Amino acid sequence: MEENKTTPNLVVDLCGLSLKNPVIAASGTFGFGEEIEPFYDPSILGGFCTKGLTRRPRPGNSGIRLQETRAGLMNSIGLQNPGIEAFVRDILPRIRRFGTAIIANVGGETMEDYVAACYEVSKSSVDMVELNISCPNVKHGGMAFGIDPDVAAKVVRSVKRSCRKPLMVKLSPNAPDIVAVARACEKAGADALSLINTISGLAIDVHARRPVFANVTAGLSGPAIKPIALRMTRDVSKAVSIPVVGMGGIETGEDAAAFIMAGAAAIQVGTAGLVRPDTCQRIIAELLEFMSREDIGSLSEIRGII
Amino acid sequence: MKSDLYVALENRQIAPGIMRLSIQRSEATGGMRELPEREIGIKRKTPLNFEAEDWAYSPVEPGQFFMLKTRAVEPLLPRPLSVHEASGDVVVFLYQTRGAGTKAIAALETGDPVLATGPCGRGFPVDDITGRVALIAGGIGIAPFRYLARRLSKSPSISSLVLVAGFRSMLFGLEDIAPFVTEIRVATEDGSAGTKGFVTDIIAPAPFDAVLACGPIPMLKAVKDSCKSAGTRCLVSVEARMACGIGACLGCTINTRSGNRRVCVDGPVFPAEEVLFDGGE
Ligand SMILES: Cc1cc2nc3c(=O)[nH]c(=O)nc-3n(C[C@H](O)[C@H](O)[C@H](O)COP(=O)(O)OP(=O)(O)OC[C@H]3O[C@@H](n4cnc5c(N)ncnc54)[C@H](O)[C@@H]3O)c2cc1C
Ligand SMILES: Cc1cc2nc3c(=O)[nH]c(=O)nc-3n(C[C@H](O)[C@H](O)[C@H](O)COP(=O)(O)O)c2cc1C
Ligand code: FES
Repeated sequence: MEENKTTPNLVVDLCGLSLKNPVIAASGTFGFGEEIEPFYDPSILGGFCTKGLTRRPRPGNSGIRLQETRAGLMNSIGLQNPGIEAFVRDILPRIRRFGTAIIANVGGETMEDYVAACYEVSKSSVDMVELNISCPNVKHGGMAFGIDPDVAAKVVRSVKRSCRKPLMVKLSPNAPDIVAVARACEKAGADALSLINTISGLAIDVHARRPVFANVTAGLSGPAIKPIALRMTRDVSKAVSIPVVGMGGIETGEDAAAFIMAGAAAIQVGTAGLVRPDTCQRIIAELLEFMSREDIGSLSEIRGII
Repeated sequence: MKSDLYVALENRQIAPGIMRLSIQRSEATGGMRELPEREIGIKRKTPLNFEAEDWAYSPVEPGQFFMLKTRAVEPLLPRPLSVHEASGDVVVFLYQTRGAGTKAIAALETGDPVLATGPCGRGFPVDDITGRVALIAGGIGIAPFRYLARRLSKSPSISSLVLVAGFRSMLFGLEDIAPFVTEIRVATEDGSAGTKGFVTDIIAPAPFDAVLACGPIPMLKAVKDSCKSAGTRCLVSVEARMACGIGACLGCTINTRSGNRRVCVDGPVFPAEEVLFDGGE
C-alpha cells in the first residue's frame, strides 16, 4: 500500500492577506477575471491582479499592440482601462463573487494621479493595491517612477499615507539598480513588492524602415525573461524583509517552485496564461504534484533556499 | 468556448500556399510542454456528413474562430483561424501559410495533437440576415464563407445568395461553396480568371439587402464605402493580431465609433459603419 502522505500545504500569507495558494494571475493578462470563467472557476486561484487602473479612463495606445518574439511577447497596450470610478461601480460588484483575492493594479502619470487613484480604489472592497511604477508603455510617468530610488520612495510614501489596503509595489527591471529601488520602497512603507514588470525592448519593421510600435519601445514578457526575473527575485528577496511576489516567464509548476526557491512569497503568471487559458489551473496542480513527489509539506520548506 | 486537445485528421494543400486542415476532438489531456505523442493510424470511423450535422459540443456561429497551437516550441502564441466547417466532433480550417505560426500548423500530420480554444468571438448573426444577400471574399477571406453559406442556405428568410470572390491569381475554395449559393462571381487582379480587377468592380450593393464581407482591410473599406452610398446593410469580419483570443489582454483592439473594441470578443464581425478604418471615417 502507498504511504498516506498529507496533501502539501499551499496557503500563503501575504502581508495579512491569506491566499489559498501562491498562484496569482498577473495584471494586464487576465482582464478583470471574467474572461477566464468559461475555462475554470477563478476561485481556485490565490488571487488575481486587475488590468492596470488609472484615475481617469484611458483608451490605450493606437497602432500595433502586440509582437511575438523568440520565446516572448512584446506589448504596448498603454493601460487601456475604464477608470477607477467605473471599475468600482460597474465591475467590482460583478467579480467580488469569485471568492479569490482581488488585487487592484494602479497606474498613473503624476504623483497626484497615483495618490488619488490608490486612495479611491482602496476605499472599495479590493483586497490589496499593486502600485505599478514600472509600466514602460505610457508616455508620461509610468516607469519613470520606478527607475530612481528617491522618486520611487517619494511616490510610495505619498500613496501609503492615504491607501487603506495593503500596498504592494511593482518594480521595473529597467531600473539601473532594482535592489536600491526595492530597499527605498520598503523604507517608504511598502507592505510587499512584486517583480518583474516587462523589460523595455525595441522591434523594427525593416521593410517599412520604422519601429513596429507607435511608442517606439514596448515591454517584453514570457519565457525569454525568466532567467532575469529569477535573478532579480532572488536579489530583491535577500535585500528586503517584506514579502516579494515573483513573476516573469512562469509556465509550469516547476517554474513556480523555482521562484519560491529564489525567495518569492507568491508568484504571478502573465504571458503563459495568454498562450493557454487554463495555465494557472495547471500550475497549481503541477506545483502540488511537484511538492508531493519531492516530499515538501509546505512552501516555507523551500522558500529562499537558493 | 473551451480549450481542448484535438488531433489532426487531414492537412492538405488545395492550392499553392493554401491548406485545408481538419481536426477531431481528442480524449487525451496534456500540459503545455508535454502534449501527447502523435496517434498512429487514426482514422474516422464514420464519414463526415457536413450537410446534415452540426458541431457536437456547442453552437458555432459562422465567422467564429479557434485559437490553434501545435507541439512546436515556436511560435509561443496560438494563431486565430476561422471555422471553415464544423460537424460532429470535427472542425475544418482553410488557411494561407504566412509566417512561423501558419507554417507550424501546415506541418501538422495526421494524428498530431493540436491545442484549440474556441469557438471564439461573435460571428455573423445568421438568424438576423434576410432577403438578397451577397458574400464578398478577398483571397483567404473566403475561409469562413463555406460554413456561412451552408447555414444561410438553410434559412427560409434568404431569397438569394451571391458569392463574390476576389483573388490575386489562383482560385480556391469555390467548389466547396457552390452547392449553397445561387450565383458565383469571380475577379482576379491579373485577369487569369473571371473579371480582371477587384471585387468592388463586379458587385454593386444596391440590389442587395445585406452584404457580408471578409478580406484585407483596403477591400473591407471599399465595400463599406460602396454599401454606405447604396444604403445597403454591411457586416465585415476584421483581423487583428491576437495573443489570448478570449478578451483578456486588450492586444487586438480596433478603433470603432464606440471607442477601442476587442476584435476577439466584440468581433471579429462588426457592422461596417461601426469600424473606423485608418482611425478616421
Ligand atoms: C479572427 C481571425 C480569423 C482568421 N481566420 C483565418 C483563416 O481562416 N485563414 C487564414 O489563413 N488566416 C486567418 N486569419 C489570419 C491568421 O491568423 C494570420 O495569418 C496568422 O496569425 C499569421 O501568423 P503567422 O505566424 O503565420 O505569421 P506571422 O509571422 O505572425 O505574420 C506573417 C504576416 O501576417 C501578419 N499578421 C500576423 N498576425 C496576423 C493576424 N492575426 N491577422 C492579420 N495579419 C497578421 C504579420 O504582420 C505579417 O505580415 C485570421 C485572423 C483572425 C484575427
Ligand atoms: C499584454 C500585457 C499587458 C500587461 N499589462 C500590465 C498592466 O496593465 N499593469 C502591470 O502592472 N503589468 C502589466 N503587464 C505585465 C505583467 O503583469 C507581467 O509583469 C509581465 O508580463 C511579466 O510576466 P510574464 O512573463 O509571466 O508575462 C502586462 C503584460 C502583458 C503581456
Ligand atoms: S487577443 Fe487578447 S483581448 Fe483579444
